[in-house]
Parts: sequence; C-alpha cells; structure tokens
Amino acid sequence: MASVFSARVIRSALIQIAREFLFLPFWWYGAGLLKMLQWYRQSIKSVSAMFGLSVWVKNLFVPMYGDTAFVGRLISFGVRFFMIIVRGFGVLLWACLLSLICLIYLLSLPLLAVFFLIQVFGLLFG
Amino acid sequence: MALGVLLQNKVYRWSEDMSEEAIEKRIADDQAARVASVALIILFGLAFFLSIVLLITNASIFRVFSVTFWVQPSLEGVFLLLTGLIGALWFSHASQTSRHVVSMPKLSLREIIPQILELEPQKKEINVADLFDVSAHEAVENAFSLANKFGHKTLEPLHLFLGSMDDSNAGAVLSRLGLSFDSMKEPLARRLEQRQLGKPMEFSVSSIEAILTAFLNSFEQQRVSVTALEIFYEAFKRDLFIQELILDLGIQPEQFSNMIEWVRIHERMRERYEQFSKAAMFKPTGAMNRAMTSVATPVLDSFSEDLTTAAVQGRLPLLVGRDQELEEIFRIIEGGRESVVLVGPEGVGRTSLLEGIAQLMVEERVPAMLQDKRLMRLSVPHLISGATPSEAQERLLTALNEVARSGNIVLAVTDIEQMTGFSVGDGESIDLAGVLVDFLSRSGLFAIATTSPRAYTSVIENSILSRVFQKVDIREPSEQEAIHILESKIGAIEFQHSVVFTYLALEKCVQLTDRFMHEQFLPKKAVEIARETALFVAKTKGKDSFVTDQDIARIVSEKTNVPLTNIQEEEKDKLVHLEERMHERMVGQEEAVTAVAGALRRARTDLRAENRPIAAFLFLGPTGVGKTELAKTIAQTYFGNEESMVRLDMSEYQDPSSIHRLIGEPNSQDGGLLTEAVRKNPFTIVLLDEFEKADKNILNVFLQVFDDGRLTDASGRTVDFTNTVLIATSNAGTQYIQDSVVQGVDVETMKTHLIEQELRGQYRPELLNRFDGIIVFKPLTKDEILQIARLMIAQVSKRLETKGISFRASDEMVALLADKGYDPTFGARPLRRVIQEEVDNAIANVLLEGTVRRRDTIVLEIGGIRIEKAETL
Repeated sequence: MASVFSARVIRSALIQIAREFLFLPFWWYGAGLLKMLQWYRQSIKSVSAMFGLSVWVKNLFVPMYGDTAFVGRLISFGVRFFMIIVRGFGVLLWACLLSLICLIYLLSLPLLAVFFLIQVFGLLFG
Repeated sequence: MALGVLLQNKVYRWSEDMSEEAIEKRIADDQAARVASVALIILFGLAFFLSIVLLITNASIFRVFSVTFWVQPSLEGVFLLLTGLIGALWFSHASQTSRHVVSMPKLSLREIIPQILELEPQKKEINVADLFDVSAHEAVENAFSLANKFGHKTLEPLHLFLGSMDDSNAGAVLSRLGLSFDSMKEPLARRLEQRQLGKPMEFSVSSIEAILTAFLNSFEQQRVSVTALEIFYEAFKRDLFIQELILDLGIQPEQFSNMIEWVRIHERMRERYEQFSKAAMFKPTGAMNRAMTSVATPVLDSFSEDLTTAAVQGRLPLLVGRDQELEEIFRIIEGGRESVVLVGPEGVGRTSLLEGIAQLMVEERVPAMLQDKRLMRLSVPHLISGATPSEAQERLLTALNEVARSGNIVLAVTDIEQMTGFSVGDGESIDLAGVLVDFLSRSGLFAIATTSPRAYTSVIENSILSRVFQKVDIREPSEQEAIHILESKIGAIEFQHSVVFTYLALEKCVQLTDRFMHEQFLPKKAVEIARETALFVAKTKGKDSFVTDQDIARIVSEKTNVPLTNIQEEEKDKLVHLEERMHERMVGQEEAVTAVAGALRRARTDLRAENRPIAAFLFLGPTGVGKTELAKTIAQTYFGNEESMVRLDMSEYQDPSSIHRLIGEPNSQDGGLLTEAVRKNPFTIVLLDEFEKADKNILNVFLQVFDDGRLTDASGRTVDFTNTVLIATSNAGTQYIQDSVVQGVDVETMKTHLIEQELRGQYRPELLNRFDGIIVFKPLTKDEILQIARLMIAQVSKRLETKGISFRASDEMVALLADKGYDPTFGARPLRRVIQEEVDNAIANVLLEGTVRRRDTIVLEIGGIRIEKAETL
C-alpha cells in the first residue's frame, strides 16, 4: 500500500517537474515577472524609507538644529542640499542595482537556454 | 442555491472536492511538490559541484569571464549553464507551490462583517479552502475520514471538532482548560455511534456554516490564513452536545471562548511583534529626528526618559485593547493641540497607555502631529531632588525651553500632581505647575500627563493645571477585558518562572482579586497575583508544573485572610459539625447557634449574595445570656481566634459627631476605627454592642453596610464589608423578654411583639428589615447555669494546667456554685463573680501559701479546698 502511494508520489513529482519545465518560459515572463516586479517595487520603497529622501526634500528650507539665524539658515540649506544629493545618489545607486537584478532576470532564461543549446550541440556534433 | 458569503462583491464558498480520491490526490500532490523540490535542489547542487570540479581540473576557472568560454563547447560550460537552468526551474517551482492561491481580503475601517446567506451561483467564486493553512486542511480532512469511517450520512460539527483536535493550538486550549481527550473519549464515541448512517456523505448546513464563519473570523482578525483553531471553535459553538459535555467537565462556554481568545491574542502578539520590529527599523533613536530639525536637549535628557527609544529597543510591553481611550486622546490632541491628563487609579494601566502611545509613534500609526516625534517622560522626583524650589523651577524652565526649541518632543508627565505645592524646609514653597501651564499655553505645544482620580479632584481640578489639561478617564477594565490583558502578559510570566497557567487559574486570578482586593485595581492586581503564584508554584511544585485555580486561591487567601480554596476534608467536617463545636463553649440558645452556623455554611459554599455581608444578625436579650459569648465563639471556631473580631461599644457613639471616629475625620487620610479595621482585615466579625444606644444618624450609616456590603470612609475609600459577619447586640425589650419567659410565651410570639412594639421606638423598620435574623436570647435556666458553671470550672482547670497542677470540683460543689450564681435578671454574669470569689480566691491563697506543688491535685468540695499530694519523685 505504502509502496503504491510512494510510486504515485514520485510519478506525480516527475510530472510536476516536467510540466513546470515545459511551461517555464510562460511562467518566467508571466507570473514570475509579476512577482519580480512586486519585489522590485517593495525594495525601492524600503530603500527610499531607509534614506529618508522625502523628509529631506520636505525640510529643504527648514533650519537644522533649530538655528533660525540667517547664517544658520544658509548653512542649513547648503547642508540639506548636499545631503539630498548624497542621499539621492544613494537611492539611485540602489535603484540601479535593483534594476540590474531585474534586467538579469529578464535576460537570463533565454541566454541560459541559447548558450546551453549551443554548447550541447557543439559537444555532440562539433 | 448554496450557502456562501458576499464579501467585497465577491462570493466566498466552501467548494472543496471532498471525495476520497480528491483528498488522496491533494495529499499526494503536496508530497510530490516536496519531493520535486528536494530533487531539484539535489540536481542543482550536483551540477554546480561538477562544473566547479571540471573548471578546477581544466584550469579554466578564469575563462568564465570571456565570451569564448560560453560559445565554445565544453563540458564545464554545459554543467554551469545547466546549473543556471535548474536554478531557474527551482525558483519557478518554489514560487508556484508556496504561493497562496488567494490572499485574505483586506478589512477596511468600520467594515461590517457579512452574514452567511443562500447565494445564487456566480461565475467567479472563491473557494475558502484556498485560504486554509495546512492545519485547517488537515482538520477538515480528518473530519471527513472520521465520518467516512463510521459511514455517517452527514459530516457534522462534531466531526469537525474531533478532526481539529489534533491541532497544537486546539490541544493547548484543551490542556489549559484542564480537559483531556481521555475524559471525553467515551461520550464522544457513544455520540458518534448514534449518528445516522448512509451514503453519499454530505456536509451538514451547520458544518458549512462553521467553516464559513471560521473564514469570517480570520478575515475579521486579519490573519494570513484560516487556521484549525477557528474551525475547532466554530464547531464547538455549533454542537450542543459538545458544549454539554464540556459543561459536565466543569467548563462554561464563555470560559472556552476566553481560552480561544487567549490563543488568538498570543498569535496576534507574535504577528504584531514581527510588524513592529520591521517598523522600528526606520525610527530614529536618540535626540535627532529624521528631518534633523531638532536640537540637542541635554537638560531635559537628564530629567527624563525617552519612551520612543525604549519602544524601539523593545523594552515596553505591548498594549492590549484600550482603543476607545486611545481614540479619545488622539481626538483631543488633533482637535486643538490640547494637553491631556489621563485620570485613573493606580494599576488600571495609565502608564501602559502612555507606553502604548510611544509604540504607536514608533510605527508612526498616530496623527500627523505626533509623527516623527519623541515621547519624553519627565520625572518630577528627579527634577526636584536636591534642589531648592527656585532651582527646581529653573531646571524645569531650561528643560521646557529645550522642548520648545527642539520641536520634536512630546512631553509626558506621570503623576502630575507632584508638580503642585512643593516646598522645602520652612516657608519656601513654589508651584511648578504654574511654570508648566505658562509654557504650554505660550508655546502652543502639548503634553500628556497622568494622575489619580483623588489627586485630580483634590489638586488638579482646583489648580491652574485644569486650564490646559483635558481630562480623559481611564476606567478599570471589566472582568473580561482584564482576562484578555492578563492573557497577553501571562506568556512572559510563564517563561520567567517555567510554569504553565491553566485557563481557570487565569480566570480565578481576575475574579478573586476583583472580588476581594478592593484596595488595588485591575489589571495590575491580577498580574501581580499571577506573578506571585507562578513563583510560589515554581518553588513548591518544581519547574514545568501547572498553576491551577487552587494555587491562585491560596495566594489570594493568604493576602486577604479570606478562606477561598476548595473546602478540604478537615474543614468540611468542621462546617458540618459547626453547631456541636459552638456548643462546646456556648450553653443553650439553640436558635441563635443554628442561625449563625447556617449563615457561615452558606458563605463558605458561596451560596450567599455576593454584594452583601455574609450575614447580619441582631441579638436581643437580657444581659449575661451569651450574646457576646456567641460572637466570640464564632470568632474562635470559624475565624481562627477569639480576637479576630472588631468590637465596637455603640454606647460610645451617642452624639452625631462621633461618626467621625467610626469612618474617619473629613479631609484626613486617617481612616475611622471601623473602616480601617475592616479594610485591613476584611474577613472578620463586626460586633456592635448595645446597638440601640448609638445615635440615630450613625444607625443610618449601617443601613448601607447591611444592604450593599460597603461603606465609604471620610477620605473617599470604599471599604468592603461583604466578607464580614455583622452582629448587633441589644438589651432593648429585656423586661418584656424576661416577663414573657416567666409567662411561658413562645419565641415566635415574643419575636413578633418585640419587632412590632418594643423595638419600634429604638430602630427604624427599614433597619430591622435588613437584618438576616433577629434572634431572641432567652434568660438562662437553672440547668443551663449549671452547665455554664461546669464550663467555667473547666476553664479554671485549664489555667492551672500551665502550672502543672491538676484541679477538679465535686458535683455537689458545682451545683452549689451554680445555685449561688443564678440570677434570672443578670444571666451568667453573677456566676462568674461567684467563681472568682469562691474558687479563684481559694486557689490563689493555697498557691501563695506554697502548700501546693507541681503534680498535686486541688480538689474543690463543699466545705473548702483539699489538696491531694502527688508522690515524690
């Protein structure tokens, strides 16, 4: 009884793998891509929260450390401007990195498949 | 038409294929997915390993960076690409099998939970089974197999209940309620055998309802998926037999519901903690806000504690409930930037609420005015310690200036009354409240303060503080809410002491503290008792023991001196034979003894009204017939010792102003004689001697005590009298009683006449009405006096025993003493005098003469004392 059940499970596992292999390109650019984009959006959100860019932009003209004197305001504006650039750069860098990962995702499957086929055919018939 | 739920324009229905093949297929599919996953991981590892080995052996490891490596066919290239392809396949497989087909719909604010209705089939319906987690699937499948095994026609909530019993959370519910499967097994088996047989099997309507309600519960709680616990609970609610069975095992349905709530709270706390940790990552700690607009606040920092930082570090306990109060606080703050003072007695959770606000600020789930701010708790004792009033004022000013300049601080002041009327040495006194109020009204900032109701009425309401602070009442949580709060705290206590609380222990903790500890408030008092009992159980029963309701009762008993544990054999015996025991020192007065014993038995078995004293009696009768003696007897036989009694001679309270001696002077913190005594020892006898002699107004005070079982003292504290036995004695109508006894009038007629005629002028009818019993003590007969004489002689003998001397009196002598001591007017009092003169004096003489030594026996006979010498050693 148990062996019948395990045979059924193994057969079913093989069928699952085969089916997923066949449908891999469709899944990759369908549901898989959607999942990837969700992850991308979520990551960008956390990155911007981490750098707090919006808070800095909102407070561009607000003096830092409560120093409301003219010089204080001037310095503060300068520092905030600089910080926005630095932080903006940080966000940009992260965004590039995340985009790169997405790009790799987009290209990886066909590239892997094409090079794999080239190599296998080359080995067999080359 | 079939049952379903219309939620957010979608129809949710139970449409899972429950045929045997389908279930088997699902189980096989799940296992196949796991097998496939493992196989892919192994293949991935193998391919990767081979490619690395080949790259190393062919020394081509750096060639992977050149294009030629990828286009020129090589074995290592094939394996490396294969690794990538298998990785992609595994990613796809894992995503597809782990993904919930449907996610739980989002609950919007003030959304009404829909009803289960008969709904027309729709094109796109959602199967609630897709929202089930593994445990819930197993529960339904188990139920199905069970019904199938017995060949039942319908799958009922009974099957669902049994099917979900295997779940760990359901197991926790049963074990904490002190229920075991073994105790339910036989009735459940009998019930299963009585079900109707037939094919094909179908889900009963109530089963479908149970499943759909389980889904709605999970939706309402915004859980990720439907768990077996919800099915377990809903099945329980729908099966009267199971409810009856569990009731038989001593568990009420609401106790079962509260236990389910306990597990839910626990799960919610875990989920909330995870969300909180995520949110806390972005909250800055320290003085600086995100916008870098704040200023360093060194002075304020030294006199206060940063609650938001403490919250980020997870040092504050999670807040349970209190949504209403939070909403009120936020409304006031949002409404007009006004300051709030939280008014509640010590222990109801004012500080927890403040800490809860700090946590919400960390998650930024607060009105915009509180966002990106720090909540700083100003410590008034720190501020004023070691400083003269003017220095303290200066410190406060500096700190407040820092708050104003910083702009990202919300000030919290606990026990704000400490700020008023503070003085040092002689004369120099100053009010810090003025400084704070001035600052708050000028700066447009706001603060959150806490205080007690008494301090609010006596200090704040009449001070300048009331101008800027809006009052928010923090009420004591109800019994149910307190149980839920305690449920949220019990995990930490269990972890600390390595013990396990049963549900009944938890419930008892709240109930008993609520009923017997009126000096403190829920939930704090319950949490403290739980903590103390946990420690006690860990020490006495060892680690991993269960804390039961009896353990809790024991600790509360020790604290209040009220017997609360289950009645043990010894005590049972004592209670059943209470009359006999009382008669050991009381002679005659059957009616009085029976009435008192009955009241005590009712009290101990909890059959009395909870909001009244255990009993209130009026003892009527001439002097010396045993009224006070009976009170003393009760004190000794039931309350432990003769002295465990509050005795007030009411003849000392003849003028109206003497009320202050009873309940305390107005405007003073010292309680009165009566209120303080009962407050300190709530389980006691209150003996009010010569009750009729007290002033009429004072008698009126007792109306409330007899009726409600409580009395408010001069300082506003409510003292609980529900665990006292009140005994008023009175000589009113003595002459009538004596005459009636001589005439042979029966007791009932005597009593009626007393109430209607004799007592009329002394007591108001409503007062007489409130006594549980008016008991007439008849004058003692000669025979009873003889018995009392024997008791008194026995007492003499007992006193001599300590000196090592024996004593006995001849029967003729006892009879003679009784004869001499008999006086129908004064009862047993003259007898005491006779014994003193004739017996005690004679013994004192022989003791002084030195004619009697240890082990000798003094014999009292007619004609004088004789000494029986003991043999010399």
